[in-house]
Amino acid sequence: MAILEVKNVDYSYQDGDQKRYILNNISGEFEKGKFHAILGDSGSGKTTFLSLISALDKPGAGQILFEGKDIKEIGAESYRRNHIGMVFQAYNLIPFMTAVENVRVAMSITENELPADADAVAYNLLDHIGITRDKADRTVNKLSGGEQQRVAIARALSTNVDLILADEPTGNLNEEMEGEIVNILKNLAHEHDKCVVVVTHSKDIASKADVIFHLKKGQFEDE
Amino acid sequence: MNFFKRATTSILRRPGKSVILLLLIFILGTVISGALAVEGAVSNTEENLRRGMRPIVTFERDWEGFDEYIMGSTFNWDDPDAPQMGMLTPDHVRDLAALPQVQSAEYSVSAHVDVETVINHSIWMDQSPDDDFQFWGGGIAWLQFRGTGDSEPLQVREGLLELVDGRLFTDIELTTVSEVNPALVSAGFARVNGLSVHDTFDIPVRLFFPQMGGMMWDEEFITNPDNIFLEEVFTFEVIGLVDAVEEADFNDMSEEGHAALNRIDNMLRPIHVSNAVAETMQRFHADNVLDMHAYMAENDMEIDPWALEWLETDAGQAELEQVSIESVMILEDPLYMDDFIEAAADYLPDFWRVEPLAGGFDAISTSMETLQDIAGWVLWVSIGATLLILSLLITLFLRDRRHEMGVYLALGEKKGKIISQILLEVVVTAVVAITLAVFTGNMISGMMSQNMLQNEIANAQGDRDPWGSWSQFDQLGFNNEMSAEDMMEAFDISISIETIGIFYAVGLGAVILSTFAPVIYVVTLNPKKVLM
Repeated sequence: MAILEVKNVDYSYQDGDQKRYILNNISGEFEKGKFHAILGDSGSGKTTFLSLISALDKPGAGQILFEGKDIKEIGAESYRRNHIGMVFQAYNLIPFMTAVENVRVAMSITENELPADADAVAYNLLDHIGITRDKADRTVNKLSGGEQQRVAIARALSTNVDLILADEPTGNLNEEMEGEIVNILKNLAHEHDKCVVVVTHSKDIASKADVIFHLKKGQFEDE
Repeated sequence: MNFFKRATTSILRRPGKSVILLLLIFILGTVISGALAVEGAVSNTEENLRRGMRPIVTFERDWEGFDEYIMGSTFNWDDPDAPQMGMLTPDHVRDLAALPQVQSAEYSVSAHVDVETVINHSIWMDQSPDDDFQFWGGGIAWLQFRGTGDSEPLQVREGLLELVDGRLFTDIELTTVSEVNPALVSAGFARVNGLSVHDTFDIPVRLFFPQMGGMMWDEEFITNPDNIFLEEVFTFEVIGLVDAVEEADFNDMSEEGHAALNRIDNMLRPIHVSNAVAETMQRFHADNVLDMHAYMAENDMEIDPWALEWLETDAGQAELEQVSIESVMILEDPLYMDDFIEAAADYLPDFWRVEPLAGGFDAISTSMETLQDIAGWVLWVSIGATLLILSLLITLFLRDRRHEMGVYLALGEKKGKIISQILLEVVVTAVVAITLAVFTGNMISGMMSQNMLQNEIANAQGDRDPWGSWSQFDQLGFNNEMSAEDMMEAFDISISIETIGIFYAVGLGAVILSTFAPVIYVVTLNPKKVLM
């Protein structure tokens, strides 16, 4: 069963007298245990699509259902807080905090039930994803790009959510790092039964996905 | 890593911005604290000065107010109902004495006579025995008889005069006029007139015919029967001798020393008698002047038309009918002075005012008010500046942190908690800055206001009349001047717990208000635009 369903979603903006559609009557389903890729060129609307399914923006029409419930009913803040983990191209970590503190921020915000020893959980999570204890205690601006993205993934996972959304997660990384990050995301889907949705323009990354959605002119196209 | 820990981490890990914020709040806080400290200091000093003053008042004619009135456009000489300078009567004193601020009240009737039968004594005679200190000269003494309604005259009760021999008045002596009336005289008066306790002396009170031409007011004139319409001799028994508690120091050449000698001399000159006797002496002219005019008319003597006209005026009639009195009241507390002055205005006759024993306070009160006004303005301007500058600074700082705010929003943090975090960061920094500013503001403003007050006090001292003033208080012997040292001693910059509380409330209030605009910025922040 799909954890996330997108049903007939439109997103447009007004350009003078004309209404220009970025997403036009788009639909799709995303399941747990699978690594999904949204593939598209620049300007195809893939980032807009991610912003809608992460409730950072609202669709003009249509529905986005999480576990069968419209995310409008869940509430955007609550949905982001308790149901999704996000990974950004620019990592979006808080620069004056350490790696473990960045993870702890997300853990303190969510209302999901978490193990009592939050620090130990955060350190374990970082360690599991390749950030050693030594690095976990460094402020994130002292870590490499790949390490920062690992911290961002650990942060996304730390709130014990089933849906991980990633926007060009390897966009700022070299090839070696890109491969490692993609493997981590893939493992999350396959070994931890998460639903992972990655927006990318890279066909290499998309080729490693279980499901690929080609986004072109605001619509999903069949391969 | 809840919002509280995020706030403290933010303060500690970004020391540059925290220090800038701290310094700015510290500087603005110092100004606010300084202004509050000056207001507090002025208030403390005023209270100390007032507390240091004796809560004594008398009542005087308000000649300035009267002049303003008659020079004003509403005054009409021909209007019989126009208010005129009134007279203070025992009824007024009774009404004023009933006011709640009054502890004790008394009035005194005075009479003045020119006599050749006794020598007037002055303390200056003790220094220069050869000079004539009879006031008018010409071998006659200008004597003041001061009445009392209390067996213990005011100056004795207030510790200015002490009984050195004999006794004070009895109650029955206060209300009766006899052939021989009791009198308290100064030890100096007794000495120069060869008097002791139980001795008697005569004082002739005379009503003279009006003089049309120039004449010499001397012993020859006042004893010439042709000039006298009526004479009554009052005989007094010395029941006690009094002397000044304050010692005369003829070696003190300072202005204060000179003023003290004048004060002691003024205090020792009057002869203390009962109000009843003083009233009889004072009324001698009024009770007989109409008879004198009738006698003069019968005997075809030349009468001054102005004198007759005067007697027909309200003031002239009042002089014929009423007794002129002075009153001194002691209030329950020096701090009741303003309330008493306000309340007394309803009971005093027209163009009379309360004269407090100001102790030099009036001389610097205007300066203190100005200082307080300036402090008030500085306070409001600095609060305004705090609101403006901090609003801008915090908004600028938050613009730098929009990325961080976007992350919190993207993670689903409640806006209320983000606002709480910002408030907490600002308030924690502000509390440190304000705590430091309490001391610096207090110290700086203390020095400034002390210097300003010192200058004002020095100016006020320079403006003093070296001969003292002619107020009733000086005549009664009350020291109406406070020394510069006493005034500076009253200066109190110490900041009270209440003022500190007000400062924290004002400072933190201004800081919290300053976060209003930045909070709007956060609330309207769109995480998608910031992060994607």
